[in-house]
Amino acid sequence: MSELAELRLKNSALELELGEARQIIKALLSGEIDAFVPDGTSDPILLREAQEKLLANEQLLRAIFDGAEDAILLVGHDGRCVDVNRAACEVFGVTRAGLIGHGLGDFAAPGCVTDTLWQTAIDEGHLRGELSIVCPDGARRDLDYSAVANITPSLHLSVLRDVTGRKQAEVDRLKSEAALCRSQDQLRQAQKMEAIGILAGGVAHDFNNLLSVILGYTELIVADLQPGDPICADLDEVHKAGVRAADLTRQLLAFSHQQVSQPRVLDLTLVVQGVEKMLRRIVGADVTLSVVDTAAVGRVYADPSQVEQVIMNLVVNARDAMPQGGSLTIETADVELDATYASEHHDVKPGRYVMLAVTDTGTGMDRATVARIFEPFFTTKELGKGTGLGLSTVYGIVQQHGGHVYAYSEVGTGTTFKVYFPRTDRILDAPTAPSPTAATLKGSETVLLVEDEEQVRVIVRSILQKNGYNVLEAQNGGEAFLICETFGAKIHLLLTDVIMPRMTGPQLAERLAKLRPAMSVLYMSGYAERAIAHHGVLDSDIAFLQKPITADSLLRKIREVLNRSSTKL
Amino acid sequence: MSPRKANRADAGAKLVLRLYIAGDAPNGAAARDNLRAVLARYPDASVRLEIVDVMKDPERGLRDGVVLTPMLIKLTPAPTRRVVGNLRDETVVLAALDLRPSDNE
Repeated sequence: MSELAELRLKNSALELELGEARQIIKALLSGEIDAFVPDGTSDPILLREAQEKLLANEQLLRAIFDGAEDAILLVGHDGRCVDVNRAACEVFGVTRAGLIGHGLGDFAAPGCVTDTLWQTAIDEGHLRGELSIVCPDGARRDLDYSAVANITPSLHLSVLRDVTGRKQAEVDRLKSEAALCRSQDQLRQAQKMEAIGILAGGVAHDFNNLLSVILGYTELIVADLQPGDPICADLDEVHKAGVRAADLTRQLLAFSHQQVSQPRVLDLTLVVQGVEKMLRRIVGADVTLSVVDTAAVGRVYADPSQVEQVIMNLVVNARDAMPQGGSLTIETADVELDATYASEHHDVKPGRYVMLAVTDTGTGMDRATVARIFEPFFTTKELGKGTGLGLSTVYGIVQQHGGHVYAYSEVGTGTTFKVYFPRTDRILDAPTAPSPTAATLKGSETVLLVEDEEQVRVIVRSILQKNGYNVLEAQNGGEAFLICETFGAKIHLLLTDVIMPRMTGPQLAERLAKLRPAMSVLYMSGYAERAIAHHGVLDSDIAFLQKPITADSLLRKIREVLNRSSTKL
Repeated sequence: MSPRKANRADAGAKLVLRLYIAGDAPNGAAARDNLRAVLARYPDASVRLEIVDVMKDPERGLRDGVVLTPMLIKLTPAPTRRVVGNLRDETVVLAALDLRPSDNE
């Protein structure tokens, strides 16, 4: 065969093979193939069966993909989503079409870097982390992610879990733990203050009786001495010390909420204006005092002298915090304390208050100091410069009035004390009439004195007798009852202690009122007994004398009660 | 059975064909029907047709180099020709079998 003929034959064979190959491809493309016969290592594969299996597998995978609670992204090498599941659409807040073709960077929250995420995942094979996204509606979501690179030659996989709720819950849990902790601290502090108050009140009660004796006798002796007697000066020192002790006792009582309060309806701004002159003298020239009062500030129901005491103590405290001078601002304003504020402060009830704020630009205090600032005898001042009772008195008075006081301080910047008194809708009271003058303090009426403490009884009797009164003396209710039955003349006044064994002063007064209805009653006590006062507040028709008793206070009060009684008649 | 042996066994026939199918898969059934319809038009042609099910006898398919079914192989006369698919295209089948439309006239 010639070479040409051989080539023609080969060419013809190749054309046949090519034709067959074309026909096979056409059959494959038109779905005319039933089975694939492998190389003998396994059975022939029916293509329809394989397709059905493939379809079933795809459906299964799609069901898992779309049923997953976590967001799943299939991502191409360019970092853009190729496919996403239902949860991904929910997490990102967009439709499937709105997510496909986009990368994580298109949703990343400001400050959240995703540029290197996939490169790192490719380098390390697998990557876990956290990222934050901002959805088209503006909602911010925190996500935990797990990224697996190259799950197929062209695809990466990212699984994201929305942990926004969990993170928020964690934040809320930490917040409530902190609030609980704060609340427990406040409760512990309040319990400590209450315990100290009970102790201080008890001490003050006994001290008042002792001081009544010391002050009373000192005054009696001085009255008996000739003017210019050298002993007078010594006794004057004893008296001064007694008065200072009485003042301390009064502050202890104030702190323990046991000071007798005689409240009236007040305008706090007017109270501040009333003491402003005196305050300017107290703070001195180096301190600039500003009074800021909001117009139409609400009224409070409070003891005016105690409110003045609060203002005074806070101002003195502020002045002492500014040894180099500075500025001091007193502000009054109506405020509403809401439930949120109340939940953060142990003893606050939500409601309407009038606020008195005293702010200084002084040295300020650290947290530890602020925490103890209201404790009695706690002072940061030098020895002898302060009693440590000024702010305790403020605390006690404010508490007794159903109010709240808080200190906010920053070292080097200054301190603000905010006092909140409950607001009242009552009408303003008229100012009270002044007490009788010294010229009218003597009397000749008959006084039934009932006091179980002998020393106190003796000194009171002495003071009264020296000032012209006729004194009938009883050491308890039973003796007083007998005297009332047997004494043949008028008894003008029952002067009685409040707490006595077997029968209290009010119980005695009630019984004697039947025998002697015209007899006036004056109670004397070291502190606000429950028997005559509710939460330290006296009923308005009760006459009361605060111990320790001095001659002046005793005679003045007796005269006031007897004069009022004779006016009524 | 090798193509060579097949040729010997089918020595009496002018046209020796082998159709590979896979069980009762649809394209195989269609190929069988289509082939029979074509051959019916050539009653004078001496034809021997063998149908082999690769699901029952995969070895046969391998020996004939069959990797896909349905596949029709014309063993005789030479040259060997193969057609893949359901044999719906009569022109292709006639060309592979070397039958001309005029042969049935």
